Amino acid sequence: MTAVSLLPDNQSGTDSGPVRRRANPTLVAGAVLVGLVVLACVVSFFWLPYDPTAVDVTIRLRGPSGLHWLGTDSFGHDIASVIIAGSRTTLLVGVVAVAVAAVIGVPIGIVAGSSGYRADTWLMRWNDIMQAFPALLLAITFGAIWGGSAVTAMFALGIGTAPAFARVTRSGTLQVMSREYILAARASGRGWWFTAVRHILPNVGGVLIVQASVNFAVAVLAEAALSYLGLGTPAPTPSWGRMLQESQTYVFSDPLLIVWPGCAIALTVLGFNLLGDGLRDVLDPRLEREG
Amino acid sequence: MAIRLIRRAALFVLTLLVASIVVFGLLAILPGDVARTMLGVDATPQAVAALRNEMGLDRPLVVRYLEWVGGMLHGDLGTSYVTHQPVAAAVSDHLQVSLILVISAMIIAICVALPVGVFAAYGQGRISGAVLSALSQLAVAVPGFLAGLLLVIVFAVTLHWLPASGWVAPIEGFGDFLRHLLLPALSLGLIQGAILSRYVRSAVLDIMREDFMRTARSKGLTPFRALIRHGLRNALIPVLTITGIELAALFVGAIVIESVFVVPGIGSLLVQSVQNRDLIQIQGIVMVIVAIVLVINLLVDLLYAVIDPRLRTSR
Amino acid sequence: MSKPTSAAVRPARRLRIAAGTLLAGIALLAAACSAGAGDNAGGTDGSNNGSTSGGASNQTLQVGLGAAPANLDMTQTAGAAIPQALMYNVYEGLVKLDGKAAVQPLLAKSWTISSDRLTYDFQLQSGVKFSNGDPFTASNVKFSLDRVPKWKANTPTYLAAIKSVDAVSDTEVKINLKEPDNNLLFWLAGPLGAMFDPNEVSNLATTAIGTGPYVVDRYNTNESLILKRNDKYWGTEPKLSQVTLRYYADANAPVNALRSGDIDAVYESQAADQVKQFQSDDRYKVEIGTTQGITVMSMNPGKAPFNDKRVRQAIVYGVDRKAIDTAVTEGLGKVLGAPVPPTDPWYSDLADKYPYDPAKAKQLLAAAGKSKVTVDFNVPNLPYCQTIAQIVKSDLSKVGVTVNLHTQEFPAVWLDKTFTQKDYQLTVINHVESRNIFNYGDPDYYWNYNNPKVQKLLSRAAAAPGDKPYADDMKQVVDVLADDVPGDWLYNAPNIVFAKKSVTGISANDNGVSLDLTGVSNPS
Repeated sequence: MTAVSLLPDNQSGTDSGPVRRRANPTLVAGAVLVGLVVLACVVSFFWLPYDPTAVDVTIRLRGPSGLHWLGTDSFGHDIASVIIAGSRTTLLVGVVAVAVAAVIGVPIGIVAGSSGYRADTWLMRWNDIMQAFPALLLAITFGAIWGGSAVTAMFALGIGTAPAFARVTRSGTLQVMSREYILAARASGRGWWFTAVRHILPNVGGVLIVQASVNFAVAVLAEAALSYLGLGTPAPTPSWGRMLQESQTYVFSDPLLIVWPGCAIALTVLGFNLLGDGLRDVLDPRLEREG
Repeated sequence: MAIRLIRRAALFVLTLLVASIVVFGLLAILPGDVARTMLGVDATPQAVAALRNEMGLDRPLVVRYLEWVGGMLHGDLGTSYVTHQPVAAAVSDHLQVSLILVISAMIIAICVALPVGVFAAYGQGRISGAVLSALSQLAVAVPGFLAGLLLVIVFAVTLHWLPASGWVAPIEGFGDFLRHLLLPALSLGLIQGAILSRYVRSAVLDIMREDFMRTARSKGLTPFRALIRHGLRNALIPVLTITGIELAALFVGAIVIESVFVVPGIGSLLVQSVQNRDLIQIQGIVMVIVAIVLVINLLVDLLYAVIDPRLRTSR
Repeated sequence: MSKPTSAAVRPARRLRIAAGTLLAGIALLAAACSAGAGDNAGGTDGSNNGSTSGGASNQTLQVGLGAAPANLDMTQTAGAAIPQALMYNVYEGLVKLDGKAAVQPLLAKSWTISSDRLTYDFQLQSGVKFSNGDPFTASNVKFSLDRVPKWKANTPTYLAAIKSVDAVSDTEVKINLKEPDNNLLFWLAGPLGAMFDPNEVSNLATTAIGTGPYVVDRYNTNESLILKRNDKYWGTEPKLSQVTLRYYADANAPVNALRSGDIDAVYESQAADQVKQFQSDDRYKVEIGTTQGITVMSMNPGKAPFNDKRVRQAIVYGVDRKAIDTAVTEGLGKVLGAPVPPTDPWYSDLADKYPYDPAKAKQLLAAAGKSKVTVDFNVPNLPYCQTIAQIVKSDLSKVGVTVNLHTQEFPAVWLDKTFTQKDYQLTVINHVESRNIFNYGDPDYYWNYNNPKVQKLLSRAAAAPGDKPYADDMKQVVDVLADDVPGDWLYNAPNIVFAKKSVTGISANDNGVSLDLTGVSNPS
């Protein structure tokens, strides 16, 4: 739950302007992995091999078989079903964390980047506090008030990661603000909101999408970490983080119990990170200017 | 210069003040009660009320807030409701542990990230670069406690090289201290290194595109020499930003690794204090963490100016 | 094009420099920190202060435990962890409980009970000293027991029957009761019976001075409690010169520490699923005993639909306790049917009184007019509670009961909402305090159970003339409760002890008071 991205990676070639018209392999790999998670989520609403919450201890801790592709866990849950259904939690967690962070961070960033010096300083100080304030404390507080769940925890994470959104938005806004058409728009008496929505947002949109995909990955990891601390998705909602936590003592007797959710989490995080990198290559306006 | 320093200091104090209000307010709405939590399932409501009274928790919020802030002005963070020991002592004990752990992890991270990132950038478009990038991407994607658990199983449970958990202060035996430090520092450091290496690579790639690098290369320097001589300094700026942010985040963010390895860091102390609803201790911890993060941010800002003289005037 | 070679050489040197920087950095840091850490590092070298008493051994022991004591003051702080560490080891009472939870002499050599059972006359051990050198006499007994009403934690009302305490001589003390109480000796063997030195009660949270075989050397809050042999101990000198109790928040960490050789034993391990691995490894021994714990899913009789006995019985029929026992304890726990652990004298096996029978459950629900019903289940965020809740939800869905799970942070939120405000329909927790069956006689307790018959029987039992009538009355209480089922008593948790082969003398049966280290040895 620590990674906060400012400058996403860049996979594109150094002097390869025209070549980049080809499909970006990073983007494709990321999109495929993320696509798989989304597909699993969609499928889970219509079909699952078994009910992922049905308990049957007579068939617990079975290895993979034709009946149970990935085996069963200590409750007798069909692991494949829990993994597929767990994708819902993963996506929900990411969407909430990113949405909250964006809703708070983007306006702060735009205001900070487009207003005068004073507002800029104050907003960035506020940002400092938010960054310094332990999101974990927020997560526990929200959980205690509204009942423990991954979604309340993700509100906290969203608040905690909003500064990252504010920062990238601010720096993007600062760049945009110096261009002629903004000056022209302001000179022609257009309102602040008009300028922000019409000119600034589209220009920082690329960076924001990249930031969103990176934060999505952070949220997925955070859910796993919170589950380990007993603050994640509560039973019976299927969740990869809780699967890991519930099966950690079985690491010697049934290591596969940890392998499946571990792989699901790692591949999803990898997918969103690659997606972010790929998108950066495609969307970064600076690269366009240079290419 | 003096004015800027004073402004900076004033902002620092103001930020702390706001943080103190935020944390106090947040804890005021946090359900659960330290007296009830301490007395558990075998105490009467009268006993709970009496304890609340002894702790002074039945007084108005404003009075308690002012008393707490007043204490802090005298350098007194108060006494824990639960352990009956000074908050400052508990915080400094656990902070020492966190400082050692987090800074060693960050050193490991930088030692991993610089070479890996530079080579991944240098090997751009080649197998070596792709492999390095892929490895760092994978390392970023593994949940921290899983990585820690695997390290424990390999190096402690199977090979018996290192202890599985625990912490020994350096003064109690330096060798033992290092043995206990190694696994948690590695778990944190490798993951952070992987995160950092992606920024290093990205920054180096950006730099290699810059005009002055092209000039340097056209003067006959090899790309690598050009990078070392002119590029690295510039590439360091974004890397430094991220290092600062990660360093700040790790003080509490290391909590998972702390629990896997049973390391008594500040993150664990925070979680325990919240579980006990030891309000005064939570407040003290948060204030200290906020102060540390602010100092880190300040240092990062100052380092910018050192690394990049161009920024000296604009900031 | 020899560039790659040069590139390959340079980074190697950089790496070496980097590694050097790392080591130097760590060394610097360590030096800086050791300067500040001096005050909390009071000798852990394990030397036993030059003890010359014939053949004192230098054995040491490191035990892994679960939850840590919040502080050392059990008079003001709840939690089984404090007495578990301190009772019988640091603090002693007149009597103690053995591994079968039976009362044995300790500071009292012997005692007589008057025929009206209102006066207990104790003969004390002579020559007993507190670890600070102060003598222990009958006046300490009076001081300590007179102080019990000031306790806030550990249910001081259990000793409410005491009218007065008379120090007859230095080695004789009389306890006079208001009314007969068969539980008196049992409670005196618990934390309430601990004997204190009047000079040392001002700061019980951080200092613990008792007459026991060990003294507290240091408590690193939430981490470890270091006990050292008390060289002034009046009884048999313990074999261990130093014991370190290490506290672990999760189940995996202590067993991994045992496997890697950091510690010698794990007591009350939660890693039931690792029993088989340890059993098949001849470096370790595994012992499985009982605890005093009753894991109970309480059904609030004050709230619909659980104000109807048939609904409560339906739930008990509808939940597969054996499956729960399997999932939580790998079947090592004892499936229950009443709030009585197997070590209590009035225990009888009621596991089959309500066999798992979904059809019967449906029938009872239909009879109560509750064929389709939805209930809220407040679940503490503890691993075993989360496991139980999932099974209960799945089982009850098969009999037409929809269970909504609400996770509550434990302890703070659960204590606030469920325990104090009694705002729940279903909840679950493992009650580790001994003989909590008596709380079914307290209508204000969170169980919300108000049955005058049970209340009358419980007070009659406490005053019954002798052990046999006492047990008989208690059996009647159990029968009423088992029929009325204000709770579904799921299982009695096992006490799983993993230890190196060299460790002997740890009682596998947890008496609910203390991890008694008196007879433990570890000649490694």
